[in-house]
Amino acid sequence: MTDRFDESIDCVRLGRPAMGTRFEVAIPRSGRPRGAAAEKATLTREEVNLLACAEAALDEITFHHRSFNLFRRDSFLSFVNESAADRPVRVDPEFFALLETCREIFDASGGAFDITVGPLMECWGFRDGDGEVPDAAVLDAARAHVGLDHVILDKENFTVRFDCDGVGLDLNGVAKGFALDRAAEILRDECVPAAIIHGGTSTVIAFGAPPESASWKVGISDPTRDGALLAAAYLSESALSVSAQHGRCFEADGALKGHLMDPSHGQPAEGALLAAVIAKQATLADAWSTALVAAGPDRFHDLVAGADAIDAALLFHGPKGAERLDKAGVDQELFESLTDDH
Amino acid sequence: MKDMDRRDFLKMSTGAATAFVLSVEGANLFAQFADDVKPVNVAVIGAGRQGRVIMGELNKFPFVTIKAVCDVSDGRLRGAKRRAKGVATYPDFKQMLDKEKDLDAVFVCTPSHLHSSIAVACLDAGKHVYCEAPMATTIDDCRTIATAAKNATTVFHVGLQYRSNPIYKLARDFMLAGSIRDTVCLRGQFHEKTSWRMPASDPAKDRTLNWKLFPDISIGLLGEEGTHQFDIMGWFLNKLPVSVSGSGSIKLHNDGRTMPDTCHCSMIWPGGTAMNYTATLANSHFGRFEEFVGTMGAIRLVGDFGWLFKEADAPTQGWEVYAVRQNLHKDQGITLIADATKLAKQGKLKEGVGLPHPAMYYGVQDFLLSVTGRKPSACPAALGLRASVVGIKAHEAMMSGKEIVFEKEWFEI
Repeated sequence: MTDRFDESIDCVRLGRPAMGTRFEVAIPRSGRPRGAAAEKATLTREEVNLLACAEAALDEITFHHRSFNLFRRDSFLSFVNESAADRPVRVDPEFFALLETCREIFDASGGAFDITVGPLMECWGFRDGDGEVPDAAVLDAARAHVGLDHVILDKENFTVRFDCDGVGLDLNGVAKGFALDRAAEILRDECVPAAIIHGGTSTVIAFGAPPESASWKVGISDPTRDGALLAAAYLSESALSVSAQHGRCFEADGALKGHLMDPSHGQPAEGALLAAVIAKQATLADAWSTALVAAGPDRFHDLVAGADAIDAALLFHGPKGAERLDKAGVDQELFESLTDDH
Repeated sequence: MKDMDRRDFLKMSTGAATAFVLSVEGANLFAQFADDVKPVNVAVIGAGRQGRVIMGELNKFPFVTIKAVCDVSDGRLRGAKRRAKGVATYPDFKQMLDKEKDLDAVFVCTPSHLHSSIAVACLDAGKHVYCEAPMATTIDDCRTIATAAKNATTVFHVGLQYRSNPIYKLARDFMLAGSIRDTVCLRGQFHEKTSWRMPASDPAKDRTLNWKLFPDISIGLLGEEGTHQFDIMGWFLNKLPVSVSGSGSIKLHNDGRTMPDTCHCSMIWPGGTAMNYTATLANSHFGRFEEFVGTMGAIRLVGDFGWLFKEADAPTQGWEVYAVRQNLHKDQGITLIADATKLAKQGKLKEGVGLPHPAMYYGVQDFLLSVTGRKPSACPAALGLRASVVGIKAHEAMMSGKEIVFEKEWFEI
């Protein structure tokens, strides 16, 4: 997604770093003076409250940032990963529901979306770096601990358990979406009529619409051409997530190795350049965009045909260069093409 | 030197000066609760930010069941249901105490000015009580709670959670053992870029939700945040402060509030040791910390990390050769690591940097150890009274612009 915001939309805006990117909340407001007069104008009661709403939404994101942070010993996810091989670990209903959603998408994507991918991320050097090719033995050892089949969810007691040491949950493929869903819920609870919240250039959720518009228009950056847009998505009561291999990647044996893993082969996913997914919930959009890049173009139509809750498009390396696939039956208005090149 | 050699050396070289370093209470304390520990049913009153964090930590203790949550906000009660399986929710704590007969303990996480009536009612109902700090916003209310706690047969524990924090306990041991020698000065701050304002679409609910911004019921930054940090200073020094003065202003959040968003206070401790403290909601630079500066070194604490900075002429201990160090600009700090003995034996000393749980966990754990009869409260009401009085008076000095000399009887129940 593009990180440029249309300044003509008059909004209360607040941003904060979290999950390795910058989250921002924008809520349309009414009657604010423009230009120099805006600097001197005191905040109206409505604006004060909207700022408080935006801050509460960002607080919610910060809360989940801390919970899911694998780089901190004291995060809840580190606690689960540290303990679940020894004993069932009780989690709260919200966290348990997220794990169930992850399992559903794991099943529906044929394992392309997998929150146990951590050992692969570690051995490919993407946990805290830009990547490196692992030794074969190290890779084999990592693959032995990957797969949601290693994770036992007990719905009766809301516990999670691993069936062996070395298994760990990595929610990076879904955390932004989940946090955005919860943040949007905070705003809706406060009766905010319209807002857009994004997590960097990858995931965005929107409800209502800017003044005199039917929806929020979000540009999707073209990974093959600097500064160009690939498409635009129109969001209202929906979320968009874009996953791509570029950004965090390295070159080996003449091929680009990106940070999104294909769990079934234990290798960085190849073929797909970018996946864009629209869904009602950002959690679903986030997880599915990861899954579609991991699965690649060959499995795209099979996977999206069975996923009723999403609309999707995929950009991949084809014989003629970058080519685009769209989910059959998708309302083309959802992904308005901005270029004829793909 | 190989890892095994290093570990052996550590075992052999830990002399008297380092004994406290390597015998500090462990970070993984589940072992302190035996397998046959009786179930503990708890309720949380106040499901705002603190209440939510406490619920998250309570879920880590398998023998604890969160039976009920109470809050005036429907949205927070809905949120509580997502955070505890099968939890009952109530808009009124009296109704909750009436209906939930099998509660063992209650966590009071409401606005500070409401602590007194709620905590006393819970003690009267025979519940163990964990009460967030500051204990109250007036000395009278603090005394009311402390008296009720004194007369109760149940546990009362005030949420001065840094007294339970393994890194802080370790740092205090260093301090008391003379690691920084004579105290020169104290520094502390709480800096966060936030408004302290909660959404209140309905103006009628503004005072209920944004109580921290109303000077007639709130003790502001120095009371809400300073209380914890001033308490750490007094705990480390084993002293009560002599006097306090301060000033405050609105630097950023000019949104109609009158409560300062930026405060400074100067507190004098016995022997003329001065503490310089700032709290602001206008900038987050360096977050929160407490610093003890001595003639032979300094200790800096930031919640989940701590460092000892030694002066060049300070005596060196043998174990320091193997200590984990971090650079902060031109200074190099020895990282304070809880559970160092165990980690050193496992060759995992570096992995022990930081804490395995958020600071709140350790306060909750200490309370549960008291509730299950394993040890007396680490933070009884008398300590809560002392800590809260310092925060209350610091806020009063800041708002009035006048120096306040602490009187001994303020600290007595």
